[in-house]
Amino acid sequence: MTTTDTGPTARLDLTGLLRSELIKARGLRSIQWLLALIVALPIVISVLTVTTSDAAAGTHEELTALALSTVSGTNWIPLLLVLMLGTIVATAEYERGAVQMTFTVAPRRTAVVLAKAILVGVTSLVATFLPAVVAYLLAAALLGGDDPATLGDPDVLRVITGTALYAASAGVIAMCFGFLTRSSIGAVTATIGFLYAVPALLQAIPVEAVGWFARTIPGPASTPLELPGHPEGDLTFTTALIAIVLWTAAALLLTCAVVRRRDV
Amino acid sequence: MIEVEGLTKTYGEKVAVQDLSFVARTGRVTGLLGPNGAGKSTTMRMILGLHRATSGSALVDGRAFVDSPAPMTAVGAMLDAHAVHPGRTARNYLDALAATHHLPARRVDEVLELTGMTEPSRRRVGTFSLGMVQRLGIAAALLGSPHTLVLDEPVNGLDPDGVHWVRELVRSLAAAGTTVLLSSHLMSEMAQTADDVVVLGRGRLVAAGAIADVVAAATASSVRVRLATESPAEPLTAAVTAAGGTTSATGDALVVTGLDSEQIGHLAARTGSVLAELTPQSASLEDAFFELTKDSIEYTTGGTTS
Repeated sequence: MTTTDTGPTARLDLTGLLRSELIKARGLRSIQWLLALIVALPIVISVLTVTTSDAAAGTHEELTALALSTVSGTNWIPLLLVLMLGTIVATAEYERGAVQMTFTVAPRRTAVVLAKAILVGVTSLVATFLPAVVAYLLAAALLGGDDPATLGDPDVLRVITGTALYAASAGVIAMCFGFLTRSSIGAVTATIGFLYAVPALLQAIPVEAVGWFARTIPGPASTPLELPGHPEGDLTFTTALIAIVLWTAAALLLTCAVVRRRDV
Repeated sequence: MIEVEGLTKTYGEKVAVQDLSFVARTGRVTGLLGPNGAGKSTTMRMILGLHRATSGSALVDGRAFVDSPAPMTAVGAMLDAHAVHPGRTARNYLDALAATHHLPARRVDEVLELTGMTEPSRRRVGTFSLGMVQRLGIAAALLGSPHTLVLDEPVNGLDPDGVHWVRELVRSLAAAGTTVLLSSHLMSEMAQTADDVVVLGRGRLVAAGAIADVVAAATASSVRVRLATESPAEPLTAAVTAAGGTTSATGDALVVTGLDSEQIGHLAARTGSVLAELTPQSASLEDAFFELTKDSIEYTTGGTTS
């Protein structure tokens, strides 16, 4: 038996865990499919929307609004897929108890949760940002016109970036619920419940502070990030961004605390 | 070396492991033996930090396993070989484990080759037979070239060739200085693999030590004596008792412990008893195990006990 010396170079760190999570994610077909759909669907939908609409060439502002609406009007499609992606990255560990080996090679479990969070967050961000840019540019090119829509137009980059940031946050929160519930269906239900049902219920309470608190929950807080213009009564872009980051961090903290304590 | 000290685990009202202490020494194969539900797996999980001990401690080479800077090189474990996502290939599973500790890719090749899993390594784990899953589990445990191996029922599901292979593997690793802790509910398997045994029953330590000593202590050898029908038993049993032996009746025969067959023969001659049968009985390992754990079997089959 030949034995490679694994002694002095072997060490456990976050870089190694990140690489490991990347290899794991690549090894599952469900994740490959979800990622392919997250990238492809917005582009396909955008092209289909523009080519089937009979909008005559309008003003520059009209063209920009139309091109941007192909992104902002359909952003819930990649978002739902991102929620599933985040969920599966966590719940695949609970398929047949695979997590016991994961936590045997990395007994400080917090680092595993963080590696997965980085993987889900960065993947969701990039996989929703780039296709949205492509979808917008394709829509702009197909719409044509004398003065076509460009990326530099007001609101365009803010909406595309804001959409991607919310997707990254929602993906990480879904991953957290995946760890907490250890069930795919439970995690998707809990995530949608937290993002949308809880704030809707809270906003029914006629107390101003409660209403404001409800609007900081990432579901409603995503509105000023994802929509052109600034609807009345919503948080500002910066406040919404801070709220989403804080909620994501809180979900991660809770998850780390629970996962560390729980028997596997 | 694994040092377990006063380890206790309770799940609500149920005590899974109670005040367990033992040492698994370096360079030896230590067998954790006990019937189902005796606390073997729970003990292993506590050593690995997967389950939190209610009280007590478990140290691997002088420190808690979870504090190791490179856990895979400290302990290689196989608790449940089936605990792999069925959608992954064997290669993907091992690559991901190796990546956590920056192990070189050729180490994955080595363990695949060592366990005879090179050929099916591109197949998904869900398509594997029980034996292949078990080999993959052992490959994963060996990946970090660990100083300590913890294997829960490693020969489960293996064919005789595979059982022999595991036995040779752990013996050679122990000879090379690895601490090996493995569990089984089969005493005969332990007898061929382990140097030391730790016998558990209902979460408590029943016996521990070198396997020969534990077996000898549990198997008082006995002699089966059957007297001719016309010969009364009374004079012989009295003589046996007087000589320090004990007798018990089973059917038409007596079972004598504490004396060997030659001594009993002399006693029979002196008391004028007519012997029809005088058979020394050496207790098997399974008898020893049954003897040790008979009071602690969690689930006994209903009806008559054999």
